[in-house]
Amino acid sequence: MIDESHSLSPVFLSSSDATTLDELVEAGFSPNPRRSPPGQSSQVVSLLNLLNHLPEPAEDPARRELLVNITMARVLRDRESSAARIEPAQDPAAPALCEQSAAAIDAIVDADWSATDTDHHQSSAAALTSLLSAAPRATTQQRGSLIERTLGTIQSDIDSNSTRFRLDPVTATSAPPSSGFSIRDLVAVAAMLLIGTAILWPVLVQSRFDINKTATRMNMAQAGFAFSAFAKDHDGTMPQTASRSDKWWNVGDPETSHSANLYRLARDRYATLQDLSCPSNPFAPIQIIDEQAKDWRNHPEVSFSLQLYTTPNPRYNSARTHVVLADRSPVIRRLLAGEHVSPNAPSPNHAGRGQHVLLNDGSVLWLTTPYLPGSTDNIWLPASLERRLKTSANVSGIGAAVPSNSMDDVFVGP
Amino acid sequence: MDKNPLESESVPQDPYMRTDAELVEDYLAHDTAAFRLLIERYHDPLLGFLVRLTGSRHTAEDVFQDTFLQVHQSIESFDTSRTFKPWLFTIAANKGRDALRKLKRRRAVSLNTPLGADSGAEMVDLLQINIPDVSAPLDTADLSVQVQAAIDTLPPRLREILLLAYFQRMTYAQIADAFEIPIGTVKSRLHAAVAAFAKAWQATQIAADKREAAND
Repeated sequence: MIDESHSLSPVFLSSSDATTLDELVEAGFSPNPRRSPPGQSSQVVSLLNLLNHLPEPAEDPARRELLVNITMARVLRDRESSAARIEPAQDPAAPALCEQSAAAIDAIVDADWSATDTDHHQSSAAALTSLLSAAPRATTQQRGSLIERTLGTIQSDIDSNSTRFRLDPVTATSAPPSSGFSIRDLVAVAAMLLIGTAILWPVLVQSRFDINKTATRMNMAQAGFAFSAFAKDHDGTMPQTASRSDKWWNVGDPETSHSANLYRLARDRYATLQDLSCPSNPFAPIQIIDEQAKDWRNHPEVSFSLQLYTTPNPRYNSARTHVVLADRSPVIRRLLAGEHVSPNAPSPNHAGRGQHVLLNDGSVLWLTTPYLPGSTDNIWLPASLERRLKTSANVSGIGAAVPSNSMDDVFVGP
Repeated sequence: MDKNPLESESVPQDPYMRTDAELVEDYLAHDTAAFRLLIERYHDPLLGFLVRLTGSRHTAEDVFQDTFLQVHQSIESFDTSRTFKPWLFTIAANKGRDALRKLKRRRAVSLNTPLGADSGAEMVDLLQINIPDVSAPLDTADLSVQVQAAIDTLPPRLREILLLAYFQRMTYAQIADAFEIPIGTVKSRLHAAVAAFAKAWQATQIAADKREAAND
């Protein structure tokens, strides 16, 4: 149903435009309407033709198949859970009343269980009331016994409560029982809460970590789709916006920053900013606010680090699998702040436990070290710096931290 | 004489030739493959509609899934004597509107910039909208972005009526039937949608001209 609560936009079509529009709709927007729109009304046609420029979803058979499969899986899962919720069908062998008896019961109930008041089903009603009257009734002795037993139970409950009251010096006083609670109650509840929190806290922390990790993985996979779609539309290349620069870490300056290359996916609607964000990054924007923006505004807003490339047209699709994206680098910002960095430090995105890496085949890996499986190439550092580090334990300056000339050296940033 | 086996009722009909209503009936008879066929059949038009409606493929795919989940949950109430497509798109429009509400998308800020006094364009809000001349050529990519931005400024219920009428070629009667509202209401909403789109487009052009002038 359409929500009727919204107010209409305060603009109106002229009567000739409205007439033309009505004719077009009824003719199914046929290119040769029966009556050619006169004069200014052709502007309506021109305006509507603008709609043909709305972006179409890019053709992607794999993505289509995935969407159909996911949708079908959700439907089947819901179908199964609904089937489990449905009450079992009535057993056909179960006894059922004939229509006459059912009508008689309805009549008796309507007549407040008085058979004499029913007009049409007197025999059935009489038989039913007779049957119900013949049901065994409690004898007077049984009745008395039940009352005694009930009173006894109540008394013993009172006695037991009284005993409990006597054990409590606060409530054992002659003063009327308070409707509030004592400090002892408060302490007990606080202790229980503390114990509960102590037990649950690690579980909650772990759950939060798992949720963020899964969400980031999904976002990164979505970014993989975006890279793929972009490459398909741009002759197989990676997004490029910023000119080659030796200030690729300058987030916020789209002319030089490497992050602007990643931002282009959102700007060109291949991905949303949410796809390019990590849920554990509180500063990451999840939707475009400024349509003119070409980059994130500052380092904290950036959640992922993009493989640095300096070749003019870096290829996304290549026979060789290479790293495209990773959780944000722990290196660049610390270096810029003049802080010492351990090259083996994990990304700050996941509580220091590891980082995701997106490969150009669309797969997302979880690494607990900054090295791909079976590789000695540190993803946070360029090869030149890694060679220098063989003789030094720490990095103390941005110095030679410039991108290599190929995609072979994994080096993500900023 | 024995019946021709090719004409036997036991020979299954090509499922791809089955009508929407037949597929719905098959699904109601616990044939899950029929539902998959419906999803595949409407993948392209429905996803296209939702991408244009939400302005985001990511959101559109989520809404696509929610739509078919709702179809599954409500399919027993669907009257197979009616057309399936309007029913499906109505559900999609409702889900899309919910998604937009959740996202609270307020994009295309520049388009909402008040029109300058020197252009005299403030009167547009109160007077009949003059449909702008769209004959001036534009770069295709820019045009696509600008049209989507103009569409995004429309309230969701106007946007969905415009997209259903234009891209799905649904008539007033079909839309009225699907949304269970009078034809007159559908007409007035489509008129309002086109007028709002014209206004948004006009604002886009004025903003673009100003940017160009500033750059010069």
